[in-house]
Amino acid sequence: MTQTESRTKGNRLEEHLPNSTPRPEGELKELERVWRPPSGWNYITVVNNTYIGVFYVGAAFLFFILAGILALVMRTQLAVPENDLIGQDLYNQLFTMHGTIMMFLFAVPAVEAMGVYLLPNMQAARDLPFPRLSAYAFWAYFVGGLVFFSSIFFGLSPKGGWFMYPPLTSYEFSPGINADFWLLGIGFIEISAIAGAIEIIVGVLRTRAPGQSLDKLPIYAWTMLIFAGMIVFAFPAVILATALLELERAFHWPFFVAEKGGSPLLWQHLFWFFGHPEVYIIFLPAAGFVSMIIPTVAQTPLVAYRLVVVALLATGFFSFGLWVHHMFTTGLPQLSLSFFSAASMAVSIPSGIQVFAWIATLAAGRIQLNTPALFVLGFMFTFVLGGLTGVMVAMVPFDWQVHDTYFVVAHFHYVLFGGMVFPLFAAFYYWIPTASARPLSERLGRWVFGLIFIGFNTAFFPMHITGLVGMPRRVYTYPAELGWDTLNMISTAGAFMIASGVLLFVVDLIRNFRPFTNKSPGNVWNAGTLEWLPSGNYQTRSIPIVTSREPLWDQPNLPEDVEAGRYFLPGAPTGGRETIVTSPVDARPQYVVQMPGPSWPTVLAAVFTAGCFLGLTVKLVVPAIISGLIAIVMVIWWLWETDPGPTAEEIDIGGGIRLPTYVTGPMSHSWWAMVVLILVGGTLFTTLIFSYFFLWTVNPGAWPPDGVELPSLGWSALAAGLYASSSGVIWLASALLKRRERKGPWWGLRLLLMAAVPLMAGGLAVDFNGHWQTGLRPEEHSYGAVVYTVMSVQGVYVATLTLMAFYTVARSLAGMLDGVHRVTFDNTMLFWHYMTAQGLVGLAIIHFFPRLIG
Amino acid sequence: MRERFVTQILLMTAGLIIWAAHLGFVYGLNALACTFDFARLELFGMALTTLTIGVATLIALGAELLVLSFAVAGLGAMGFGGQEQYRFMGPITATLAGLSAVAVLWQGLPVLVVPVCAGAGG
Amino acid sequence: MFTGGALIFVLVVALTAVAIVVPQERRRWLADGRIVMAGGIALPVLVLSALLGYGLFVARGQLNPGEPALRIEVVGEQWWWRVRYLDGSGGVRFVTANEIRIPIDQPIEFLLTSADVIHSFWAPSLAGKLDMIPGKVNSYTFSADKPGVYRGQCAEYCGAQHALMAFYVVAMEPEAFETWASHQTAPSEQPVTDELRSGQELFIANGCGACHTVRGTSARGEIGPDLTHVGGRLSIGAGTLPTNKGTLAGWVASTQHLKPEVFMPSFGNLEGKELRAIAAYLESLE
Repeated sequence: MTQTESRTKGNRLEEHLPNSTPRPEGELKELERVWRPPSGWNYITVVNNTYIGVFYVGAAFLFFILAGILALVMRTQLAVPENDLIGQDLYNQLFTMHGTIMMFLFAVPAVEAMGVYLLPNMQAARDLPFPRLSAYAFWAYFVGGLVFFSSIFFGLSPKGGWFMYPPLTSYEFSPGINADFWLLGIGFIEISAIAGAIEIIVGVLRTRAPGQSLDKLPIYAWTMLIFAGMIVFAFPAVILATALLELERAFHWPFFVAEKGGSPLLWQHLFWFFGHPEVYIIFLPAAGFVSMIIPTVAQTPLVAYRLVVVALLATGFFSFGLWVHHMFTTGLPQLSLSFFSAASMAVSIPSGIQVFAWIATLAAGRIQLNTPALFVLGFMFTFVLGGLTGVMVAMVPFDWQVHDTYFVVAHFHYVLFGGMVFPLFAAFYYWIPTASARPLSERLGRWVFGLIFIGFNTAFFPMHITGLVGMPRRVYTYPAELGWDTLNMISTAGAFMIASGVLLFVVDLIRNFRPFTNKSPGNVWNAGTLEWLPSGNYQTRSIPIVTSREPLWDQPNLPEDVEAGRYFLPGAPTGGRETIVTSPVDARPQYVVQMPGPSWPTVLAAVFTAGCFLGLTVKLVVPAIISGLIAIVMVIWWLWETDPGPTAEEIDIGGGIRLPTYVTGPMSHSWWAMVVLILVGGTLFTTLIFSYFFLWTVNPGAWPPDGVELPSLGWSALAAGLYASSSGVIWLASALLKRRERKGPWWGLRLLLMAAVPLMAGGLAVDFNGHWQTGLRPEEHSYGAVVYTVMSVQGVYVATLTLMAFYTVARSLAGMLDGVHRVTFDNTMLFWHYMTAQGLVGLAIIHFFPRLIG
Repeated sequence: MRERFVTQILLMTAGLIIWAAHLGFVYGLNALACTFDFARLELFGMALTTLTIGVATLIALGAELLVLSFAVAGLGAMGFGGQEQYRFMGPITATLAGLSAVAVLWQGLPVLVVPVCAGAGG
Repeated sequence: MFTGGALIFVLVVALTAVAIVVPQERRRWLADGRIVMAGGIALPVLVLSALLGYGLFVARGQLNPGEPALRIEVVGEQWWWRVRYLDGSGGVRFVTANEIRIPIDQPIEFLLTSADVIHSFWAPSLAGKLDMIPGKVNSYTFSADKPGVYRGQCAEYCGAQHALMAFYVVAMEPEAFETWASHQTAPSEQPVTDELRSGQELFIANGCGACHTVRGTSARGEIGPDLTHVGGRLSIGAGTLPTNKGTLAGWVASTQHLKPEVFMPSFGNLEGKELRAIAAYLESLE
């Protein structure tokens, strides 16, 4: 009803502005009040994306500088052969930290942070749909990252290389807590990446300006959507890998120990199944920057928009098909390598499409050679070179020669520094006028570009040759007589040149960057997209209807009308923060979501999450558990306020369109977030099942190993029955709740939920008991380890589910849950049914597969 | 003009999904064949694994072409939920299917040249 | 491949330059979706198909180097190489370390594995690298066509002293190789002078035999490298230092300084004279 209404009116509204002017007095004041960040100490509880986004980018940039300093120390060590400036122990920590921080604490958070900052602005949403989630992700990452970095000052940094291959990194060869620090550092980025991915997927698909249909979506939003989708499918692999490694390190469950049926290659599969998409996870948003900046500097729309979308989607998929190309030298069959060689070739086509689209756009327009343009051109030069060497290393025979040499070091710096850092600097210069009262200096910007560009090529181009003449990577010293010294000296000089460029950039920031003033130099580049609309803490005064990809170019008077409040939602009708939720394809307004504001529990939850992880790392188990419990309480406290429960029914967003303020079911943004979370959980479980089968192929003919009995099928049937019946109870609760509609809180629901919990937990307990009775133990063989891990993952999820059930009951007790206001129940229900499905699949595989092959 | 987001996205990326299924299948099959030593089984004088990978490649290629023609012919307009969305998503579907077909072909061809389990690993 | 890569690179840079500097009316052809199709899809598909095909044939060529004339097992250990020459029946003919001598023009099969963490076996001038993975034996076959000394080193980061984990491949004429091999099979040289005799005694008395084997003596340790013919090798410490009396003495006295964290302790307790004797003895083990 509302949908059809809004559509028919929407079409008409494209010609007639929804609201009359002047707007009522006090409307703007109210909007400002609602979105004002807190002051004083409470300032750090701010959740507005324009603040969190800037903090987040700033933190990522800080880690870029810190990891860069580590690189300078390494380059100084390698400047001359047989240097004894630093020893092997520090050097090995340095390169591990440099890689880890650059990949996990700089690159991924930086592009994610830019998304948090830019996306709502580009889509004229007031904020991302889950502002507190962004704040939580930021604080957990920032606190955790700083603790992780400081391990270098205590000689406690990991030293296994950024991909941490076991067995070198397992308990036998890395007994200290250094490797645990790595797992800690990664833990934070796993949390913040997943949180960010959920936020971004729902944000891009559901909170757009009305009319901003998928074919009018800024390319940057496309890249972020695919970026987030890739995180959903790639990160679970590394989450699982790190969990397995920590289980092996802490409890000696032998996943990677060859003598006990494990395999070091399992780690490599899991890590690179994440690790290669990771490169594109970093690159796609950067390509998104470029696709936004080039049309502006050339003052013409992007040529072949649709082909660029094709390229992005293809990259998103193909990049999952080449993880094995990091394993070309591990002795896999040649034919297997060929498959991945093919995929490695395929993934370069989308990059080609994008490069040619950019060239065509430049040709269509007339470029203004400002600083963003220079960085973009520098990017194209560097990235194309890196891409070509990438095709070379995708050739199996060539890779056998250059794998793990400085050639590869050169290649991935061209791709990553060229492909991500140059666009990021372009983005800084380009978008800072939306965040700062003053733009950065064009004069300094040229120097910054010159120093970084020339420095980069001086540092990294010679490394191709250094690698071809045989210098392996990750060596803290090298003999004088091999003739590698001149090349290394040149590289070192280049590294310091990059550093001077970055330093100059910092000077520029100090002189000109003035954020959070609500003043802006305006649309300085004459760009065409919505982030250049006049804005305040509330983003745009009113939310425009969009009829073009570059509305600021094609819709005359748009900024004035928006600023005057002539478009949708010019005030704050619910008296709180809110934005319009739109349909995912055509961006038709569907409802108005009420969003939470600043909150202490969010910040505290992040700090205590960090405390919990840190405690576990340094083996302070009791404080860690206490800290973890506090974090959970804080999360619940923060969530309590986010589902407003029964409030205003419908509000007028302008133009006579009335939208509900509360929806349930598949239209709700919260339902979408839960579905994405379930996809994450499902992918994690799938990679675990992959690990199970992989370990089977490592132990052919001994699965389960000799002397291990499978529990009788009676146990598994009982467990399956319990899982299924718990889901049945939830289904019943849902059906009954629907019938009661608005009759208010209801004891029956509470009873059914409380009955379903023991059924679910009982299923797991029965399964566990069955295995335990046969004498199976996780420490003895990889079979037991993986079986107990399947149950442990189920256990962690069941614990979460139990918390959710209690939370739902509490909501009901507080009178905030009825047949209409049932978002909390719906989320619990979705996760519940997923858990049952996962439990049943796990049971089927673990109990039937060995019988099938045995 | 109801939106069917999930269907539309799946349709749009159908080519890529087929590609992923093909890669998963041929890689998995080859890994199992070499581990469990059924790579030596033969049918009509060809290694059974080679043959299966070849057939899988042909099926995947057929599927890609089907998606391609479906998208090009505009038959998909219904599936895309209407003309407006089709104008945007149809060509994307077709191009992705075309690219995926090339990728599938690249994945499948080596089987004609390289024996199943030979390699550095021996 | 490099030429092709350079050509594509020049093409892209040139087109970018055209897009920027050539007057607008003369670059309109470039501002077209069809250019994106041609340059972004058609061109890479053609080039990459050719490259892929070429790569496959090269790879297949490398798959069948012929029946090996000699099989050598190399075990990567933190941070050195245990080398076992196998006889026709797969038994061990003799054991050495950090130096692999091979006859030229004959395919040699290398069986690679690891005793601890992952290493990677790589002699750049002779062949590509192949990983040494615990619990797995990787093998490949290659040959050297010219006599000479080829440096190799570990190419997978393997811990503290990954940088100093090198080896030498010495390719020899087949007759010279056979002479060398039969000498390697023999037990160690017996000491002939007083100094060498005392060196041998000190070697045993200081417990070196707990880790090292010197065939023909009571030293039968298997933890470290076999030293039976250490004096005849080009380097000590896995390519860390050339072999001579001075470096040997330095190595024994300050192992932890020269190659920190290696599993051999520094024997700082030895006096100069004792050190010289041990070094002389080791050097004599040709």
